[in-house]
Amino acid sequence: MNRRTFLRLGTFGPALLALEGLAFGPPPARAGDRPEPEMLDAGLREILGAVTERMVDTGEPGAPSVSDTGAIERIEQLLAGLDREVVGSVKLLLRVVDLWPAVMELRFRRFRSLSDAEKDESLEGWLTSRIALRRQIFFGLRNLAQYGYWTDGSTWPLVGYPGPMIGSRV
Amino acid sequence: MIEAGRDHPGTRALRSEVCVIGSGAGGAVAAAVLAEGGRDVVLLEQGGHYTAADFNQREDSMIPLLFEDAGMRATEDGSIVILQGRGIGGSTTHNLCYCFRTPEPILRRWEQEHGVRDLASFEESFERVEAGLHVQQIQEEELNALNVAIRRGAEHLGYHGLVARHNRVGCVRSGFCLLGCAYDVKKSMRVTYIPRANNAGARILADCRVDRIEVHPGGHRLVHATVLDRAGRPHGELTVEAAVVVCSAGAIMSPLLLAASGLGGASGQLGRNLHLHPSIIAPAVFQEPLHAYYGIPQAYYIDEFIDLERDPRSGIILMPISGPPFLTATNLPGFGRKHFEHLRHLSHMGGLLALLHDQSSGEVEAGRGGRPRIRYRLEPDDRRRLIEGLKHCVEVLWAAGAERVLVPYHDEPLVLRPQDGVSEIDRVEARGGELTLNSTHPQSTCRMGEDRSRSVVNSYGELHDTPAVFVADMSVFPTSLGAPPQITTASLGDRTARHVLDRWPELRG
Ligand SMILES: Cc1cc2nc3c(=O)[nH]c(=O)nc-3n(C[C@H](O)[C@H](O)[C@H](O)COP(=O)(O)OP(=O)(O)OC[C@H]3O[C@@H](n4cnc5c(N)ncnc54)[C@H](O)[C@@H]3O)c2cc1C
Repeated sequence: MNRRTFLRLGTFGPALLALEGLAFGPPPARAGDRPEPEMLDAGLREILGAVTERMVDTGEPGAPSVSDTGAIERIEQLLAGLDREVVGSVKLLLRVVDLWPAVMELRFRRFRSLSDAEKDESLEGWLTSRIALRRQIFFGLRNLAQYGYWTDGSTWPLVGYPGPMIGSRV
Repeated sequence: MIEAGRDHPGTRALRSEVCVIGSGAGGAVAAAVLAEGGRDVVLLEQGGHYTAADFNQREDSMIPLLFEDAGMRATEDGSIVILQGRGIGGSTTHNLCYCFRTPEPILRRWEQEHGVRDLASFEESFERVEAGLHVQQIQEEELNALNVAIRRGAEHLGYHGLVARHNRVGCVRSGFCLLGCAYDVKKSMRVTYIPRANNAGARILADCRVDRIEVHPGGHRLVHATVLDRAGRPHGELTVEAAVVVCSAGAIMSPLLLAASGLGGASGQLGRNLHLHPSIIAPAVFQEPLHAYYGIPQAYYIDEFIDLERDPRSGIILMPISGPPFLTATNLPGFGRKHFEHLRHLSHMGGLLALLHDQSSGEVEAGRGGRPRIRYRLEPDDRRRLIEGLKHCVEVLWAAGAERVLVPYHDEPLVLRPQDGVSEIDRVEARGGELTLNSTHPQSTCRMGEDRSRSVVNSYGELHDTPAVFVADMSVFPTSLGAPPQITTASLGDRTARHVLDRWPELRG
């Protein structure tokens, strides 16, 4: 990463996350330009699925799986409403996270083919990295995963959330 | 009628006397006052037009719909998430309805340090705007369990706090203000000044992103906009020819729009002096269920640590904070099972946030593709104040009955119980612990003043270097405000619009 690399990730606090175009990301687009609807190819979807599963693992028997909740489709929908530049960053980050264990942790396997425990170790490495950018990447992906999972009604019983009031309680 | 740009592809050219850009607290009020004053107004808003029927209280639908960049705007280093609204009503559609007038000492500071004139007119604007937004005192019985607990904690510690005023009428206390009010009881711009502007004949166009303002010397101003389709992609072009332009695109976009138009840059201050009112959130778990995602989220506040009469430059306000699952999840530390160990207590959770009246500042400029690049450096003194505020949050939460408070340092989250004390925070701070901050109040990037070398606009919001182009939004605050800003912003919209009406014969050109 020889050029300034920016990734703006945060909590949504009342917050969500923030991702900004990496300097070597996709070609510049005008502010507000949106990408085409099909967001992620099968490989990227698989990486996102693997990351999301570990990020929202509750350990609860009977917890809805990531695929039950449609989390990946929901994240794709969110991305479809964002600038091309931001979407390009997310794609790039997913690839970096996938390759990281193979290249930087000398595991010689990609993230998506690690065991659950190894995946958690790899993610922990991002979370506790001394490099601020890696921590930012972690939180961006974590919050995307949480968006996909915890906004689905089937997960709410796990946290005792009765859901919107509209139509029922008012 | 509010026209959805998405329904009008192709190229169009409109004419009006005044073109207002942005429909939030500043722009909506300006458009209504100007239209009611007899001017022909076109208002262009980049976001969509949604109604109460669209607000389904679900985070997955509402966050992408109502928040700029789906809530993903942040400073360049990722350390501060900046939330802003998008769509008819701007940030007022999803804001939390605290209503504060501009504090007196801040107005005096604006006058003394920045030469802002005619302070008396602010008072008149406050009166009008508060009437227009139906501002009233929150009643005791309207406090939810979290707000009651926080008040109990503050009283126990002898800290001063107050039940706030708000702009809701007949609130059903569902608690989903942050996702748009499904009952239209929140008196946001969308249901107050926008209909007023409409009734007075203003043409209001959603889905129209203004890219540039072209100034013809001695003549009209031409506003160039891109019309966006349902997915936010360009599908048309629009120009509005007007004698006067009022730019109210908010403190991040207004300076970028002016810079892209080659306007407002004479002092070198355009886009600079950015203040954020950064805040830290301390989530806590209580023994009893609070269900704090229901009920008025912020009804009470603690002002013990801000005394603007004594020190108009700094201070901290403490405010309750709560939310539905995803919004809460993002403020909790860790991931996977450790994260879930906190989140599973959602119904027992509630937090406090410490909001800083900041002296630190930053700047906004156009980055790749014209997207805002936001830099902000939190000075050590301000960091220290914020951390003091965080410790007060922890103490109040304990006194309110919290069993444990989470301090979400990224690499070393702290779970503090009353017997622990707050000294652990000092230890983690000393070794440079990292916390993500939030901002919902970016301001001051086109600051107001009479010294042309230090400010972008004059006392009424007109660009020093370009006649008949005004700014009326949070970007004109000469300093950090030190209070929730919607009433100040709306009052500036009112004040600037009345000034335009008074000077109309001269401004019409
Ligand atoms: C989550 C949240 C909670 C808040 N709670 C409170 C509270 O309780 N009390 C309080 O006093 N304040 C609160 N605020 C702040 C308050 O809402 C703002 O002070 C106020 O809305 C700012 O008004 P504005 O006109 O400057 O900008 P906004 O209200 O943000 O409006 C700017 C508008 O301009 C549009 N725009 C931007 N660029 C363009 C362009 N190029 N072309 C066309 N349109 C454009 C945007 O889409 C937006 O609709 C809150 C804010 C947030 C985000």
